[in-house]
Amino acid sequence: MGGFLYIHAIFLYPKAILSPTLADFLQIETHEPIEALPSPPPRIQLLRARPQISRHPLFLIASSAKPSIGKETVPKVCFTSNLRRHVDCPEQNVPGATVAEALEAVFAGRPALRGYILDEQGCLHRHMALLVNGQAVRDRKQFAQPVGEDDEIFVMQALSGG
Amino acid sequence: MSQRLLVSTRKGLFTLADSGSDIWSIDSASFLGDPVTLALADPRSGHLYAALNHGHFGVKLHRKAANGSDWEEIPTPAYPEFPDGREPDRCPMRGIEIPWKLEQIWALAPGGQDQPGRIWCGTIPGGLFKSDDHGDSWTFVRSLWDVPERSKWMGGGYDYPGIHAICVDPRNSSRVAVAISCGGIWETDNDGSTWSLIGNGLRNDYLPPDQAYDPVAQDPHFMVRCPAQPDRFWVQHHNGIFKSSDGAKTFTEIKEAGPSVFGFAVAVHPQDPDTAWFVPGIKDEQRIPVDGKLVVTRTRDGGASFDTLAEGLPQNHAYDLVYRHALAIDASGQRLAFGTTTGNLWTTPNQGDSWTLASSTLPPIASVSYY
Repeated sequence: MGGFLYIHAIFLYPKAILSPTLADFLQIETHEPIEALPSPPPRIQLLRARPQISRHPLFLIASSAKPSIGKETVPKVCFTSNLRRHVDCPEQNVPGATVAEALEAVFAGRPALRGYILDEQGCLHRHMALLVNGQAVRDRKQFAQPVGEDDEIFVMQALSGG
Repeated sequence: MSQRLLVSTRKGLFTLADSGSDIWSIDSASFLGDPVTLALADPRSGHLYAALNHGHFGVKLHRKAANGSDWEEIPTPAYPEFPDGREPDRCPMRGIEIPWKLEQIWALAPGGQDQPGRIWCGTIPGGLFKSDDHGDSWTFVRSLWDVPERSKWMGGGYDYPGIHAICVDPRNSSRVAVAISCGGIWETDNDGSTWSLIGNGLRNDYLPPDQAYDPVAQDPHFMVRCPAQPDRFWVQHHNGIFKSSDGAKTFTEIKEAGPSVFGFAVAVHPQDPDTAWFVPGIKDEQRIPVDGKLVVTRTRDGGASFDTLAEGLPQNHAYDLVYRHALAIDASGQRLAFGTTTGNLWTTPNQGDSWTLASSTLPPIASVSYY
C-alpha cells in the first residue's frame, strides 16, 4: 500500500516527494530527521516500501551488495529511468563521502549528465529530487550530506505537466 | 527547390513537405513527447536547430547538420556563475528573484552572411548569447546583461523577462536589434560590445500615464525587420501594432487593424516593407479570436489600411491563439504558414487571400518556419 500511495503521490502531488514527511507518507521507519544526520548516517529501513517502489519505472533500486574501492566510501547512485531516454546513466558505485562528492564522481565519467540534473549555478533542477535511502535531500545546492558505503542515492523526478 | 516547414510543438518537432500545390504533409517527427519550444533552419549552413525545454531536466539544444540524418545534442548556453556577495536581481514589479540560469531559449537567429558560424540566442530570463561555431560553444553577451536598466526588465506572460526577437542588419552584421518582453528594444552597432535603448514612441497602455512611453517599460510581443529595407521594423506590441522607418529608433502606432490590434505574431514581406501580417486576438487576458472567428490581418500600405483575411479559416467557435514565433513567411513573400495553440496549422500560397488546413491534429504549436 505504501508503494501504491507513493506512486500516486508523484503523479498527483509532485511536491510530496520533496516533503520531509515523505518517510511518514511511505510508512518508513527512520531513526533521525534529515537535518540531524550524524556521520556516518544511520541506515534507513526501507524494507517494507522497497519492493513496491522498485516495480515503478521511475526508480532503479539498488539490489546488489555494494563494492568497495580500497577504503573509500562507495555509495551507489541510481537514476530515474526517464532520464535514460536522454542520456546514458546506468546505476553505479562511485567514490564519495558526501552526496556532492558522489555526484561529482558520476559527472566526471559522464559530463553530459550534469546539465540534466543541475543547472549552471550547480543547483538541482527545480523539478528534480535527490533521495538518500529513500529520504529526500532538502539541500538543493551544497549536497553536503554524508553518505556511507551502504547508502543509495536516487536521482529522480517529480512528474508533472500534460 | 521544394519547400519544407519546420514546426515546433509541445510534444515534438515536425517537418512537413509540400507536394507542389500547397498540399502539405508531415514527413518526419523528432523528439516525440518532449516540448520543443523553438527551432531554427539556418539558410547559410543548412543546419537545423531545436530548443527543448524538458520539464525536469532543463533546457537543451540539438542540431541536425545539413545533409545529416541524426540530431545531436550540442552545448546549451549557460549563464555565468552568480557572484558571491551580490544581492539577487529582482523583478521591479513583483519582487521575485530573477535567476541567473537558463529558463528557456526564446530566440534563435543566424548572424550575417559574413559570419558563417554565428548564431544569436535570446533567452529567458533576459540573457543574450552568441556562437561563432554553429552552436558548438556559446559566449554570454555580458554587456547587455549589465546595462543598469535591466533592473527595470520584468516578465510578461512568463515570470522573468526574455529576449524573443533578434534582428541582424543585413547591411552591417554588427548592428543587431533585440526585443525584450518586458524591457523594450535594444540595439548594438558593434557586435554586442555596447547597447543602446531605442524604441521611442512605443506606448504601453496599462502603465501609469507618466510611464506609458518609457522605452524600457515596453512589452513588444514580437519584432521583425524587412530584409530588403532594414530600417523598416514592425512590432506586434502588447498594446498594439507599431511601425518604424528609422531602424527601430522611433515608432508610430497603428491604432486600427481589423478586429483587434492585439496579438503576438507579425510577419513582414521580405521585399516590400509596407506589407505585413498579424493574427489578432482579444486584448488583454482573453487572447482568443474576436467573436470566435479566426482571421489574419494584412496591410499593403504601411499600416494605413488592413485587409481581414478569413477565407479557409474557421469562423465559428475558433479559439486558436498564434504564438509569436508561429507565423512564418517564405523568401518569396507569397507563402505564409501559421500554427496555433490548438494544434492547427494553416498555409497560404497567395499572401493570405485563402488558407488551407495542413493539419488539425498537431500538439500546441510554438514555432513555424520555412526552410
